[in-house]
Amino acid sequence: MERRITSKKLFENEALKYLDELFASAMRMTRQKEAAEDLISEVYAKAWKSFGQFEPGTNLRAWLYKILTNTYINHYRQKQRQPLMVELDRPEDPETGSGGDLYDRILGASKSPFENPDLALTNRILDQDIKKAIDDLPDEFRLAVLLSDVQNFSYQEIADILDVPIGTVRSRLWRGRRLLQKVLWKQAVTAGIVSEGKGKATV
Amino acid sequence: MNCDEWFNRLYQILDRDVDEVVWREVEEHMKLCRRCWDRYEFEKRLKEKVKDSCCQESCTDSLRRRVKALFEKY
Repeated sequence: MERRITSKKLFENEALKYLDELFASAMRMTRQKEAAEDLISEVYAKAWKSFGQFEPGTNLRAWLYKILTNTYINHYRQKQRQPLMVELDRPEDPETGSGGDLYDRILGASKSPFENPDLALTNRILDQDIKKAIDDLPDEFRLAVLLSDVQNFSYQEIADILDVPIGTVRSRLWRGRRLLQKVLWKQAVTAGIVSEGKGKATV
Repeated sequence: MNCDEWFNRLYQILDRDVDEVVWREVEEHMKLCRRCWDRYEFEKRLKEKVKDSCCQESCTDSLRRRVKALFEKY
């Protein structure tokens, strides 16, 4: 009995180490502090209840993220406002899938093709712009981008967490990141950092 | 590896979802192709920015207490 309590206490300490990062993820999922707090409470309640199902030695962090994403998808998604759908305002090249994303457009706005285009603009994109752009992504892309870029999970881990094939993870990351760049470009135009079309960067 | 093959795997390259053999081809290509190297650097920087911007919120003390209280309950 004593041994079980000790190991349960150990489990509590281990699981609590991920509280801050899970909360940060919940914030990007729900976009609201109160909803994120409720979501995290539900996640930990489930984790404490399912303690017996957790196999020691397996990845506790991935296990907690699986509970987080499942809980979010099942209970919170419907209640949230629908994210803005970003239209593809320039047709993609069917051969390469390129065209219309942030990189191509910065390249188009650069004075010289030899100028490294990332310096001028990526440095001016603020954290709040990125958060807003992520908030605007449809759920399926947002979750994949968060799990990869922010939480550094491998494609296989993301596939396990989201319960989808690895090919789906690849395509969601591809589309999610390109969509993110389109949103960032629109924000940069609105903020006057760059001008629409082939305009010059107003740096 | 040519530019099209490289571009088709852009995000797998960025996330290192490629094996050692492919990774060596990727590195060789980027040594020779400035355009693909620039693109890689740009995507890498953006990925880092996404990470930095989304890791700032910490959970409040009240939530931490709430979670610990739940633990006592179960």
